[in-house]
Amino acid sequence: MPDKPTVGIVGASGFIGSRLVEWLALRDLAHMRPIVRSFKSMARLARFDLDFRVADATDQAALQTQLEGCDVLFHCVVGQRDTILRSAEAAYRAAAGAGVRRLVYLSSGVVHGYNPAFGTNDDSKLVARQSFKYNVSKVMAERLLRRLRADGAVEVVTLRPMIVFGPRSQYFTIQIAMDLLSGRAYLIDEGMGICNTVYVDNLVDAMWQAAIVGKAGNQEFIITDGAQVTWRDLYSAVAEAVGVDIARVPSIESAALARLYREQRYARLKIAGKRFAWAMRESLPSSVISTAREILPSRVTKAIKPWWASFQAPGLESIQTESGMQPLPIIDREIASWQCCHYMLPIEKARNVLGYEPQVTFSEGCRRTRDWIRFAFGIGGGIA
Amino acid sequence: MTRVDRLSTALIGCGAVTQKLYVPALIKLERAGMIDTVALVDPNPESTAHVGMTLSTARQYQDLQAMLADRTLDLAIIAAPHRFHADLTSACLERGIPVLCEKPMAPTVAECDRMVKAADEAGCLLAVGHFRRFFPSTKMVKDILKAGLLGAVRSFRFLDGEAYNWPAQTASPFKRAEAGGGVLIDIGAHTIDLLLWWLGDVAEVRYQDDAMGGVEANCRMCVRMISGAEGIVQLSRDCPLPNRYVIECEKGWIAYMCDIVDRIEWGLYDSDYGLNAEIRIMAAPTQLTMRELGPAVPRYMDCFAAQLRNVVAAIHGVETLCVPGTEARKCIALIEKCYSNRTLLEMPWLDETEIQRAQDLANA
Repeated sequence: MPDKPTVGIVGASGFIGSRLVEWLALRDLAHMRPIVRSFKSMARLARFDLDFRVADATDQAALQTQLEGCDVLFHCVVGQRDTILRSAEAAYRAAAGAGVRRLVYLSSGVVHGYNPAFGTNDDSKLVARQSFKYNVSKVMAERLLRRLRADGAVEVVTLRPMIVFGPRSQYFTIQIAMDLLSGRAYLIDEGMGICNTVYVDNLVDAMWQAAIVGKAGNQEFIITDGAQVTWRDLYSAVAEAVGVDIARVPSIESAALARLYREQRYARLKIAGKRFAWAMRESLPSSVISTAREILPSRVTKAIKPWWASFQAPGLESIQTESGMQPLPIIDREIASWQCCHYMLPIEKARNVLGYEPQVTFSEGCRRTRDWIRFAFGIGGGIA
Repeated sequence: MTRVDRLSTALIGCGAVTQKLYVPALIKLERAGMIDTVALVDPNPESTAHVGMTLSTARQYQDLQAMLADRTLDLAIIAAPHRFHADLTSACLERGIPVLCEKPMAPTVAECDRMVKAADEAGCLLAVGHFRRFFPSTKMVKDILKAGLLGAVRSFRFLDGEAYNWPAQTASPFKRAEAGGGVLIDIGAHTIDLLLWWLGDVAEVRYQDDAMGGVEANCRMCVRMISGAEGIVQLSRDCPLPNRYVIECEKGWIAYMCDIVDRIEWGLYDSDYGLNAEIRIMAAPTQLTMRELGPAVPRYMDCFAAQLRNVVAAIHGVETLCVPGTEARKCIALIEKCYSNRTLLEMPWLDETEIQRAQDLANA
């Protein structure tokens, strides 16, 4: 490995990819070749003067051309199942074709499920039967890469972060902030579930170790902050940044989730019915309505008038209120599943093999995230 | 309007802004009998061919001089990358062709001066595409401030940004040598134009951005106007900002929401209520003494076309040009001042080592 290797980064414009680019650029550790899908994806990365390349992450030939001369390829592509699988295969084959020594593949801790069984570690069997397509796709991608790497052309190092938070995290920073501000946020069981966080800087640090530590080849590593953190801790940090009182965020008992899902399903069906009726009413010619008025007995028209007038496209909250349900925030199954985790994933293997040690504590990560949120949401600020 | 009044127009630059905004507007004006698009110019034949599928009567050229030698024009629209604006505009003006140049007018004040001088010498009109001035919402803000309904302006906060989503067809918007800068000269050209239009000239500005060897994706300006009002302008092509321009006055506040053309919000400090106000066209006076509102205001794309209508009407001498080059030059002068006095954006989410290296890269 040269002192300053040449690294390709596919998926460089996303949350983790762009922080990796920034992290490496601000340490001058590598000759970088960020690879993005289109010119517009360059906006955030173009703060630096780098050797940008444009290629589709699922196009093996295009990738291979851009990877000539690279020592390492970081794969940070996000997407749906098709993109996850096709980009993993394209990355491996392109790396092999271009003579890249190592592929650092960013998988996810969800390959162990949202609530991993007690005792789960880096070498546990992957959980292939899950309700969420993304999780299953990540399992399939890891298996695909294991099959591909059997040819020995490229070493694959797979990292499994779980809750990646920090500046620009869409799911675990921006979305939480927006939910808190709009009153849509909720905690399950007072937010006491385990939140296997990894501050984004710790993750990119682990990615760099995965690229340079020789003995890491063809292994998988769980990456977290290595601290016991609850969902309440994470939500509290974001709430403080946006000026929301965490005590006002409703809590939902996990035992009630199954009932709530049923009620939400019923409410959605009712909405669909009302929307359909509303659409029918709107599309009826006025002649049909006036004819009906003429031919129907007046007691019938009087009786159906309020029902007819109620045909409009309502929101879920109004249906909940109508049906006497508590107007709770709409429960997202995925968010609820995340919050029902009771197991802290171990990082001993990453510590022992990669030499990974989280450099940013959870509280410092929260402080940095708060500062970024306040900047990105335009809260306070001036120029000293 | 007679056939003679239809302006023979050339569209120079057939990239994203042309395809997304100018083509629909030109079609509207063609249908209204106001112009004929006779020439498309772009060095990339695929781009001219793409635009030519819609504006099929226009002849396609890869070279400006060849087109100028071939056609007699009444109007040239310059929608090429920023760095070509001055040369292309001057070339047209020198031949006596009025020009509508897409914003930003040019990357530097020197280039703007060259363009204004060429227009003066040729006695030709030079318009710049700050089309947000044609939104009923921005005009309403201007009218309310001008009338002093809310008292004098005390402070303001303009936050404009989202993850970059413009369908750029080249890397040009991300190279300083080609674009002249990043988010400040890009969407910031609109923001600063509105700032100057609404609130007058700037007395003092401090500016920070996050360019570290490249072009900025985020920037923040602290501004003091000659009127004494102070405020902040924050722009981003990296993260979603609230996209609101709020102006605080003596008696109340008023807000423009980015790209919302038919609505403003405003309120009085001594009231518990505020207005989310829909803007409508004032009804023509009738025999009745009761005032009434008329139809809905034009939509976003209609506002873009309104800019072209103004240019056409100004060429015919029946309207005053809304955004002449001399006006747009002020915007570039402020942008240039910002860039020349820039400091690195405070980014407390980076660690100390990173900030030091960022400083080095920013100063290199």
